[in-house]
Amino acid sequence: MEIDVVDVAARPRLNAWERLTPYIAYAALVTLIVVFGVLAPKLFLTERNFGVILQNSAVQCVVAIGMTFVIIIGSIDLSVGSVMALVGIVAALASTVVGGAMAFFLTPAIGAVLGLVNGAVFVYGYIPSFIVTLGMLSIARGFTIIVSGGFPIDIPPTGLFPAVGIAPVPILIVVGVAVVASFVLLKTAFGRYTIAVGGDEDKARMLGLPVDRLKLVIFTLSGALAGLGGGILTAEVGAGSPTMGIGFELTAISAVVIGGTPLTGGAGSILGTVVGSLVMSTLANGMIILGIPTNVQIVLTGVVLVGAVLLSIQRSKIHIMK
Amino acid sequence: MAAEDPLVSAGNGRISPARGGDATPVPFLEIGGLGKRFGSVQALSDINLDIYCGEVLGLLGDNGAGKSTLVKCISGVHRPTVGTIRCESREVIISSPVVARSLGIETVFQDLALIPNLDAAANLFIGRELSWGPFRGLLRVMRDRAMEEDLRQCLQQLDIHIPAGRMRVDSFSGGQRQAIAIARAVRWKAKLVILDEPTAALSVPEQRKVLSLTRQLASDRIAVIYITHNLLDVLAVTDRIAILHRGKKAAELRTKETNEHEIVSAIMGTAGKSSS
Ligand SMILES: Nc1ncnc2c1ncn2[C@@H]1O[C@H](COP(=O)(O)OP(=O)(O)OP(=O)(O)O)[C@@H](O)[C@H]1O
Ligand SMILES: [Mg+2]
Repeated sequence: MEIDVVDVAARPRLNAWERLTPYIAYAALVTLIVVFGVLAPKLFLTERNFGVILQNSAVQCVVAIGMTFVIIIGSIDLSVGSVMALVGIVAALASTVVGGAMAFFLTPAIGAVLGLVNGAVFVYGYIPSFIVTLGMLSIARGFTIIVSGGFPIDIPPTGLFPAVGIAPVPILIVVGVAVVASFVLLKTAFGRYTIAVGGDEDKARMLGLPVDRLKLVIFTLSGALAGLGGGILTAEVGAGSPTMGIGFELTAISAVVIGGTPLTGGAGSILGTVVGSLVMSTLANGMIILGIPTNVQIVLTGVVLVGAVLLSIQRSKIHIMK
Repeated sequence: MAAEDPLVSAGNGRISPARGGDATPVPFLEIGGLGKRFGSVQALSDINLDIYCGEVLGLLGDNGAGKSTLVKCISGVHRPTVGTIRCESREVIISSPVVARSLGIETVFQDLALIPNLDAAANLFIGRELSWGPFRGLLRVMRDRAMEEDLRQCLQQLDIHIPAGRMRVDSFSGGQRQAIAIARAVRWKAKLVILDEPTAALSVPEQRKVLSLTRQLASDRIAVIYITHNLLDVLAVTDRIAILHRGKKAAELRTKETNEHEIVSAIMGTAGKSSS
């Protein structure tokens, strides 16, 4: 019996549109640069402004990279903005005790603890990540206000902590994080299992993959990177602020989704998220330059998020929409 | 329903393997007095069955007879309520699919256990990726080239053809996916491969490919349990047939010495009562 199975046509499940989604980010970035470049060439198309866009995208990008892993397994982390704020306040307070440098290095660790709590409640409590992290969004924000008394807390004006916020340090940190994250996603067993869990969690379990441990690690990682982002933002501002990072989960999720990682999980790329972050900060920058009122900017941010999900979600993977 | 026919050994009887010249080969797996209860449903009771290397055992029975439940007890998905399983003469407790795999038991489930959004090589090695460097566990760095080369050799050895490149397996045909699942069992030197309705959704040429792969497994001295509702497949591919009826073993037959009629009456629970 020499039967060839090759003649039975392969049936790709991805439609043409789904195969295009990884490139949305690049198209969006070029479109935005062209539009803002035409509308406000003198202000927008300057070397200095591009520097500002890069600098502003850095924190967003660090946080969105953590979010990318979370979304690839098909979960969501809504707590990143609040985690940034709590970590920023705690680091600012700690800097008077343990010193600025130590306080900065603690930021990913504090974030990791909060992320681990998210992960543990999610995995062992067996409730949707959406609810767990929505709770953490409120809990961490509440603690931030309690601990800070509602006021910003300054960090030391000199030394390593504030230096971290000065260009190009945040950009260098992002490049480092992105390279490592990309390697981990593409080349390690961790990355492969992340994609496998996003593809079919039941089968991943049946095949003996450490699904629960993987989820714990991914939520811890998201918390750690949110903490690092909060640390960098605190350094840039010169103080931890109780209102830091409000609405940050929206821009981070938008950056990931625009970067071609479908909200339905199972696929994704770090490079895409980096470009998606650039899209989000270019959009914010252009709207400011054009003098669009802040509240209208908030409206447009929401529109962009829903629009990006509308374009990139793989509906074939969702049977019932609730 | 005692068996008058000497070829039909009802209830607890066991018969030795049909193939293999050895005088009395030791079974790879010995199932003794196995029972499984789901709440008030007695899915299996008092199953005795031996499984030998190099032999294809057909497992037959009506819908709900307990075939899938039996193989799930063997592959670590379910824990039997009572009974023993001995693997290579040692009593074992197969508490999870991972334990089953470490004993050399690979299952090609009805729904395949391939990760749909990964490519063929990734699926061949899933959970057991080749790696290099100092890292262990989740952080180990994968050797993608080596795994792809290994896949290529494995497919060549089994005469399986799939599209080149790193295509996701959910873009493959049913037969191609089935073939990769079988290749995985071969690659990891399984000693027992369980195929649960492997040809159910396949075209005729793909069915024939799976049948020939099944025979190839047996000729490589692997034990095979083959579940199907297709009598032609059974007669073509098995050496021995065990028939379940309402959770009990109704008959055990040698394929060479039986016929369709006998098989059907055992499946319907009328063996020994018929007058042919
Ligand atoms: N997880 C479960 N919980 C409760 N009852 C179950 C479960 N799995 C199987 N059963 C019951 O056990 C009996 C045997 O089912 P099983 O799936 O083993 O049948 P089968 O022989 O594989 O049938 P088919 O040919 O339709 O695949 C059925 O009555 C079924 O309802
Ligand atoms: Mg079944």
